[in-house]
Amino acid sequence: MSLTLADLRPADAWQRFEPSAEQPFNRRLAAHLYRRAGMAATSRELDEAVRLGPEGAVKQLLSSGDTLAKFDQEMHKFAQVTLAANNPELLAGWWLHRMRHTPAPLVEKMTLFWHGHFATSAAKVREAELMLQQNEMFRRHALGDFGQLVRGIARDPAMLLYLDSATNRKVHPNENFAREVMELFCLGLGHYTERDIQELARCFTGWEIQYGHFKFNAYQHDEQSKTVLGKSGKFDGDDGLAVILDQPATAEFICGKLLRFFVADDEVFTPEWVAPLAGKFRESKLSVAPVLEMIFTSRLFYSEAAIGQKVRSPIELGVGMLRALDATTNMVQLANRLRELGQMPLYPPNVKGWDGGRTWINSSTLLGRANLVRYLVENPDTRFAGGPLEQLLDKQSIKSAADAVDRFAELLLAVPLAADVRAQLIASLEQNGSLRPDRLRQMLHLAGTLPEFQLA
Amino acid sequence: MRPLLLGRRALLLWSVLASFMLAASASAADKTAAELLPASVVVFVDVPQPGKALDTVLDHPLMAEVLKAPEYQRALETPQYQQFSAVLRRVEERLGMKWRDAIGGLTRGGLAGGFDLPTRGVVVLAQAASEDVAKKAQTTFVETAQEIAKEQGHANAVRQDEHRGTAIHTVGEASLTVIGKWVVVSNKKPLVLSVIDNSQSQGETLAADQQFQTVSKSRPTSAAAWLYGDLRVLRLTGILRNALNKKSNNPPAEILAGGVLGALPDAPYVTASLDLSASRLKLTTSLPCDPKAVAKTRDFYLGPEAAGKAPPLLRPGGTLLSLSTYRDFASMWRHAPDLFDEGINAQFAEAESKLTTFFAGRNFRDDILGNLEPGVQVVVARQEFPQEGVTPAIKLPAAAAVFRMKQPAETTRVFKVTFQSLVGFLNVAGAQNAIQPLDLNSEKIGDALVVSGVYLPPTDEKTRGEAGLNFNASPTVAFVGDRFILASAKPLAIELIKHVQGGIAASEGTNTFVQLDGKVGLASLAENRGPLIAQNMLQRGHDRTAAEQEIDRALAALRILEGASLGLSVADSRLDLAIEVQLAGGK
Repeated sequence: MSLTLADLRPADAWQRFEPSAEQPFNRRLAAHLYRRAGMAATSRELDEAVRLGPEGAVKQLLSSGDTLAKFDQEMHKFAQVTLAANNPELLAGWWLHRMRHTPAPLVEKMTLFWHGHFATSAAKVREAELMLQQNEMFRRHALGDFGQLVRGIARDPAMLLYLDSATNRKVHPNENFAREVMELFCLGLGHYTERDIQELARCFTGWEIQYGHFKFNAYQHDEQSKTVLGKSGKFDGDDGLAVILDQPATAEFICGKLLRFFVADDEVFTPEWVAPLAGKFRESKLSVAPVLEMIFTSRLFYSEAAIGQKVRSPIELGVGMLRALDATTNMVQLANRLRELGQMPLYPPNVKGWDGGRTWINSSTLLGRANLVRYLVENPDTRFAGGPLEQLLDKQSIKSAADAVDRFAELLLAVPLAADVRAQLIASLEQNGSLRPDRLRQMLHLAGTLPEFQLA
Repeated sequence: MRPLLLGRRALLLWSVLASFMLAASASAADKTAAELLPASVVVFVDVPQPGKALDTVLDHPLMAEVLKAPEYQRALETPQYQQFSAVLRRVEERLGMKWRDAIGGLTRGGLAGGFDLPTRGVVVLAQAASEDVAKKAQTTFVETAQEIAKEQGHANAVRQDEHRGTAIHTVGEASLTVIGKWVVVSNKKPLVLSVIDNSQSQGETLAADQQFQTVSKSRPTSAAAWLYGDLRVLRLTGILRNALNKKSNNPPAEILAGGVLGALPDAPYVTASLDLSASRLKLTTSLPCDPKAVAKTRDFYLGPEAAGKAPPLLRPGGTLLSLSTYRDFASMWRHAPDLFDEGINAQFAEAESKLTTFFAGRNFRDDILGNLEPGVQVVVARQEFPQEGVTPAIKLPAAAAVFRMKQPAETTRVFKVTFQSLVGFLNVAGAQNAIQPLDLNSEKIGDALVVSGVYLPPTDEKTRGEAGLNFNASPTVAFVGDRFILASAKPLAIELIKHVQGGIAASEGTNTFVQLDGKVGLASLAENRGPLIAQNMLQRGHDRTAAEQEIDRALAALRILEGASLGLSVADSRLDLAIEVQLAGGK
């Protein structure tokens, strides 16, 4: 029976999940954790996660950033070479490569979250180096201090250029950035007035971007007193931000977004659901990791109100499939395919980022998503554990069509297959009762058209 | 008495017939491929020693690298290859030998092919080591085809009939017959029938064609392969002329191949021969024509009276590619209305108008291009970094073109001023895209005047070791004597100043000559190993280790390429094109 939030109580739902005989922490739940906290997991990673248990697996996800140094260095070098052509579309391919290979999937997932939250599009910025700078800033603070992230974004050249806020003069304060800080980045609608926006804009006067670098032009800064959200003082930009970050609404707004991003698309999380998370967020001085830990170790997260209750975004679909099947492909072409589905990294459609949820699915994107799966399995550039798809069965010691279907379902699907659908997939893989590896592509393409495949 | 006589007559008749048949098959066995092919064949290819050619190719170290290449490995995984491989295994089983040995035996006497215009058919003739081998090939073909057809549920896929006592087997569109030691395969059965007819001296053969006989006499005996293309039918029907007399919409193609294309409509035939060894592959193509007649409409390409000769080949240090060619760009521009269609001519007119403005009111066609002697020397050379303390992340070679000026004093000033304008324009455009400006310099180096634009180094010192692509360029013009050098990088321009008066002189009749240095090419790629690895990571999704392995393997394979060259020369009655590739590592 499928549960909704209405069937649960917040007090119970936010308690820690304890595996039991009725609900063991098995490969299915481990796959759910990795789909949400990363893009997906390989069979080996699922075994490891089950061995660690839910708390151990979450701890590993949260601390994997500590082991990133060598990978980061390599990726930075890789990015620098990509920058030589100054083509942000190549950088999008670079980021997909990073998502595929990262040893810290949660860090990468949160980088994607912040990229959607502080939406900045390369289509307007056009400078690959500035987009990379912003991307690396998101990654540095992915699981860390939200306040530092906001202060960083306030000085970020890519963001300010995107919002036409590269100059801000005391005679005529630029309200663009101030508005978005309140509406989209920190508070949400209904927690500020127009006056607050104007006053916050005055705080940022003198903040400029010159030749791709942040500069503070003291001559253009309004030194007078401002009143923002009831607080008064001779605020500069950082002071103004501090006032906003102090608002209870900030913690609630961010935690509400995190809930929607990691738990369920359709649910409306009322304040009683968000409050425990927001409390944790404030208690940790706006540090993100404890909030994520609370989400991923909660009963809510492992309940039927969460499992299979999100629509996979195009990036999760593409990169997730590659990770789950230990596959690699042409990442620049993948980026272009994701553009067709409405989610090319570094190219959000507008300042609000991607709406996500059911907006990923319409009559044309559904076909596009199946075609993406087809493209991935049929593209000669796609290699599965270094070889062709047919050899993957041998590498995974799969001998029968039923085993193959069950294994791929476990790795790729959020919800179990209906019996008749399972039988259909098995039949597509067999001839005279024997497994036909050459039909694997066809089977996966068929699976890619299923409604179950669209869920995360 | 009568029955005995009849019997004797019958015996005599049968003996005569048998002798005739034996003689026929004996003579069929002796016939050459050209004597078997019909006269309507317009393309004839002959490979006298296919086994030797195959061994040269398959045993070469380069082939070992090709077999390791990811693209080749992927090709092996395709369903088409898997099917082909399965059929090949069956054939090997039936023959009791590997395919290489089988091909050797089947083509011991040579391999030939033809394209027949009336039937649009292709025919291949392989002369086996013996009649037995040929028969065995036929049997293997038939039995394998029957076996596969039966498995696929098509019981009667192999049809057999006969023509003039010779059996023909047909599967789908492919027909096969054996005549003595010859195994004949074609996709058009009428073509097989013609070959059978000719084997019994019942038809007109290619060998009997006068032109073919004449051309064959001058065929090089040592060539690994030889091609003859009969252009008469195409000429007579006007197909070639109509195709090639249409006005072009491709000026670069006209510059590259206009003279050759101009000669084709009147050429009676074309020949090509391939020399193949472990260290060299050379393709020589010859097109008989009247170069002077061609030059009447394409003097920009061949020169007046087809006497245009390429200037010397320049090879300063680090040269990756050197090209020298006779081209008169002013003449081409003047002939544009005759050569190009309306769309291109409109573009020429627009370009001329803009360029005239750019060159301070001097007519681009007549005053600028017209002041350059026909002939251009182009050099592409590897660059040394850092330059001005900056090393780009991706290191590109520099390129330069050298011209001779007709009126150096005046032309130098015009080009110098125009170059200054260009630098100014680049700086304004660059500023809008946050690109560093070019610092304009003018200096005397020996007798040469050198005007160059060098990018100011990046303000962030940390990026000077991995700078943007634009730092590969320091556009430069140099003037020494009557020579004008236009270069993408200052060091190359300066290097060329020392070389412009010399160079490797072209032999008489050379219209175009190109040389590529494989070692320099490899060094250019090797110094971009990092970017190549990054590109591999992006395009294949590999992690760094796998990407490094693939790139290093590709670079190792390229070590085998020592160099390449291309030469187009003009003789009294023909155009010759020679392309050569030099390889290392062969035995």
